[in-house]
Amino acid sequence: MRKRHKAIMILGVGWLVLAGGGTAEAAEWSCRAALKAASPLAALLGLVGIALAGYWAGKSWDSYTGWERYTHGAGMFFNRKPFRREKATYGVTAEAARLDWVDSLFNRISTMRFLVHPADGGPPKWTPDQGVEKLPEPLKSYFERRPEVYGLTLKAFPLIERQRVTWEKHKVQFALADAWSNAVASSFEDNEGEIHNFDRLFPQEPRGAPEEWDYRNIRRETPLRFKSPRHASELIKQVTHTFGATLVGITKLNPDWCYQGFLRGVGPGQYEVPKSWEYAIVFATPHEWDQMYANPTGGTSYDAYARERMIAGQLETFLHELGYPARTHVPPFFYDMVMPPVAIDAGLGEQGRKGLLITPELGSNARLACVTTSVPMEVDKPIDIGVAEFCRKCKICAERCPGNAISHEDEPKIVRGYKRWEIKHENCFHIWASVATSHVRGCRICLAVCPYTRKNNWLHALSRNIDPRDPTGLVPSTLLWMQKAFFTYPEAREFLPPPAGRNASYHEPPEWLQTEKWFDVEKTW
Amino acid sequence: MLIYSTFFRPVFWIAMALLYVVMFTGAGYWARDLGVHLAWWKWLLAALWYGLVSFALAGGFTLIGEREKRAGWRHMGFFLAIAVIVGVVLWFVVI
Repeated sequence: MRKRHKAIMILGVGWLVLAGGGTAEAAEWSCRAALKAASPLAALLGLVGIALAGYWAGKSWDSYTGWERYTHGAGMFFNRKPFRREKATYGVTAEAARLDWVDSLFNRISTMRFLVHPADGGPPKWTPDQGVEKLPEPLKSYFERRPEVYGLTLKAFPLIERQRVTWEKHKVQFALADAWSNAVASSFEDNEGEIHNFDRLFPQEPRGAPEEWDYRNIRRETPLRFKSPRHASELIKQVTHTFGATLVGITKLNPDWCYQGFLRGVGPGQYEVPKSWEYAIVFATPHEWDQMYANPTGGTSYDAYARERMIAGQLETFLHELGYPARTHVPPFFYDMVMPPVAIDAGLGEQGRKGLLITPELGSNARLACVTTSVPMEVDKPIDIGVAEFCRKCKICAERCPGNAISHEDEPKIVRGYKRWEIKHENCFHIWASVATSHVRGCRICLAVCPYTRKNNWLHALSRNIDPRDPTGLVPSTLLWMQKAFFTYPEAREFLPPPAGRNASYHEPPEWLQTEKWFDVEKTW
Repeated sequence: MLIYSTFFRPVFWIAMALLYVVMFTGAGYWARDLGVHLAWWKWLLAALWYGLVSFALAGGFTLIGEREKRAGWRHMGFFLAIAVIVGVVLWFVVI
């Protein structure tokens, strides 16, 4: 008790000395001495604290743009206003031409797949040994004009067979990735990648001409009239975000991007772009970031596909409810148009060397879908954030592509009147059919290694804001140098299964995709 | 996780702000007691140097946090080397 009383007395006297008017000098001296003594420690703790803050920022789920906590448009955080331009950076020449449906590898391959494996489970309607002559139009004419493409396309079929055999060796290692992929794809295809019943899909596939199908669920005599086109675009963007879209843009649809030669719901034939497709509401969502970085075998595209389909279907219904025509164009191959240029026109991003859209927020980790409609809306302008110039120098995607499908040329070419780097689509597909997956499921290495494909933390926010504002080009060049000097990537062939490669991925798969972490299996890889 | 909690995050940054206040106030006392008289822009340069060291550490650990370990260490090595050079120049030439 005595000791405690003594301590209280000392503290009390100390406080009086410090607080007392006559002892102000002593108090100041004490405070000053304390601050002097604490200053070096504070400097050190400040550095430790900032390092910890950095580490937490790198790990934070809030940096997983599009998969973070908020869904009301906060993922579209880049201020595009200073970078809006009247014309898109893909450039256009006088002889621009409309895209042909058969120009798309996926349209060709999926048609051939359904010929070999009809959706109704019936006997094949065509097999590769029957040759080009027996193929239906427009495939027959297309391959007769391009026999080299036919040869490369045929090469995919034995690769697909071999992939199924090779899968036996890897199915334990990638069991979780395969299960997860099948699960996220189950809303539109079975675990073999087949779609057996198109009628059960959401959104529904068109049955009939757009003049009927796009209007099918409208219950109003007349559409609800918006106060102005600006009100329309603001509301529709907001609502699309609430459906789960990370990025949303609106553009007047350029007919050149719509496939000629085939129309969903109608079939082969020449057709004009319907009037009800005057506007395109185009939106993007990313893949789950960790599995995307762990591609090709750590995951698939189907997570983003499933989300895009859901958003598109809901938006289509929403517009029908307001009394307007609407039609979805969704992954994996239910499109009447090619998506990246539509998104570019709507100001979501620019076209990269690999032919994919590169956005400020998601980089290349952006999967696209759109809804066409005739709602009068205020449209967005394209942006120029310097992607074309960066891609000209970077070439990381081309260097790491195991299929050598991406152009190494310095300058883009003119394709159908538009400026772009050419992609060897068949080479790309050969890799899809070669990596260690249970069936053809794509690749995405070029997405993962792209320097623009970065999550949203302060470090990358700094880069993405300074880079496009530097008129000298010094910052992009420095960032590219740092990218190549600091970051390491597997060699292109290493992404393939043994013996050619080692099933490498850019990042190690996340723990939740590592089979050996959760299941009683012997690790042999 | 506590680190990302609604409570911890602002508290952490308040604590960091207090640390900076203590550091700079204390640095002022040190300078006066040692008889070092610095112009405002020299103080600014010193603060920017401390910012550079902080950037090197924060950037490096951010990359490590997002599974880019090698890039993180290289980032730190590169910018800390610059900080050392700049620090020597500041110490012997400017300040």
